[in-house]
Amino acid sequence: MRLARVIGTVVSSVQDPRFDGQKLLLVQPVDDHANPVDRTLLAVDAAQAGVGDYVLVVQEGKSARAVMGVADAPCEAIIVGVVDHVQTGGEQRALTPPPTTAATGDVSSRPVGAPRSRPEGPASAPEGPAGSPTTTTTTKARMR
Amino acid sequence: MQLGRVVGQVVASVKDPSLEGHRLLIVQGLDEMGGAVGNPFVAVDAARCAGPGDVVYLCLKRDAAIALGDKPPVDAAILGYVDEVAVETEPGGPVRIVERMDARQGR
Repeated sequence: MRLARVIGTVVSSVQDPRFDGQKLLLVQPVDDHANPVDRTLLAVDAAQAGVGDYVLVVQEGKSARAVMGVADAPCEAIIVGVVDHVQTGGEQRALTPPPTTAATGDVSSRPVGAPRSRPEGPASAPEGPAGSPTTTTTTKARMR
Repeated sequence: MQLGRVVGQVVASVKDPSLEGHRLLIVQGLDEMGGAVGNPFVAVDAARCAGPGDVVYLCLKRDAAIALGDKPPVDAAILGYVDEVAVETEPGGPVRIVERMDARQGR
């Protein structure tokens, strides 16, 4: 199972009859700090989840069919729960969108270490002290 | 499962007998905003609904064969035709429709 955030809905009228009555949601897999990882995927909703919820997704066909209650449904991803909070390292917290993506309004996944690995890193070094380090510090401060 | 757009068709006269009667379509995987993801691949049209340009959703890997009765050697199956995709513009932001197919409603 993995953690994911529901980011959208998909409507299909002409489809395999075994999917009739099932809700399809687009989910973005996230890590335990709600940072996006991997590509978005499409999952059947068995937990009455909505856009913005953090959910548990099972990516295995046999489990998905068991949860759907349809013995021969060709399904490989299903939402089986809505996450209330996570606990790592003795700290319990609710999952919230990471501040970096909220500030830029960019939905696409951006690894935390991405600014450091940019090819133009050395070129932008002169203006770096004013720009990037400040941004990084702000990010850390917000996360705490 | 994944979103995709049908970009072409494959005709194969010599193939596994269990694939007889099924349409083979070339599909480009899509992300949530309708952008291309990965390389195009061939999928069986299990829902018999898709044509060129259509946005569809697919089942991949082992479970794709189950869409066709668990017999054919298939790793990607088109399950349905997508009418509408709505995605939140930013975390916690408004939900916006990014894909809508009104042109084929009469079909």
